[in-house]
Amino acid sequence: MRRKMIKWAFSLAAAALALFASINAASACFWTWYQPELPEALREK
Amino acid sequence: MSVDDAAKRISYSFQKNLRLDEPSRQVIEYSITMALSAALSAGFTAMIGLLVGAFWPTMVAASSSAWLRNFSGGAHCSSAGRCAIAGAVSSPLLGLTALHGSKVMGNWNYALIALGTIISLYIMLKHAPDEAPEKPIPARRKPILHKRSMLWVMTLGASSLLMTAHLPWLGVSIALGMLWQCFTLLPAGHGFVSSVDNLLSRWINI
Repeated sequence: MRRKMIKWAFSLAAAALALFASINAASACFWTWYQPELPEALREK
Repeated sequence: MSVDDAAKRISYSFQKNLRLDEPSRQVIEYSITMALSAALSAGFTAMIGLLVGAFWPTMVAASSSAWLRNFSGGAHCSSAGRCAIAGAVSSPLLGLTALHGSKVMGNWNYALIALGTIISLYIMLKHAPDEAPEKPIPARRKPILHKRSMLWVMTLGASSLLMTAHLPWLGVSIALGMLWQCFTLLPAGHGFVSSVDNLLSRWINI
């Protein structure tokens, strides 16, 4: 049960993080003065 | 440990628990890096803003600049830690200038904000969006971001003028944040940020 809960928590966090990354991929750059390298998977062809 | 290293470690625990492939792990790592660097930057900026007694002007100037940055792009530091330090120095300076400058300038605030908005519009017209090598902008998105940068400058300029009538420090903070962001689009702004980054890299490695 505990293992299942942890897996669920990881899945939800991963979904939220993926959404955050894809929203940011549409902007010119990030809010701060630091821009990490955009991963290949998020680059538009 | 740098922000990038921390994000990498956390992303590996996601990969282990969810059996993610490498491209998915990289997306998670990217997202965590951004979230951590934003938290670090906002935290440092708020702390210094509080210490210098200009918390709200600092946060308003930082937010005005950060929102515009989403559409216009701009110069970057080479690490999240150096970015946080640079932001924690520049934003409180803008906040303090707005807080005290707005009292001294009186009715001149309106003229200066209008002039600042015109200068910002011109800079956006010529330079937005400013592309970072780490994040290439697809050709079809460039006109959209250009238009949004111009619209956002007009919105910030108008709200800044309106706010000045009631709370001069608020209007001037918005305008200074906007002007500062426009400066980072110019070649001079890139040169300035890169020299600050080089200087900070001697002491800060996060």
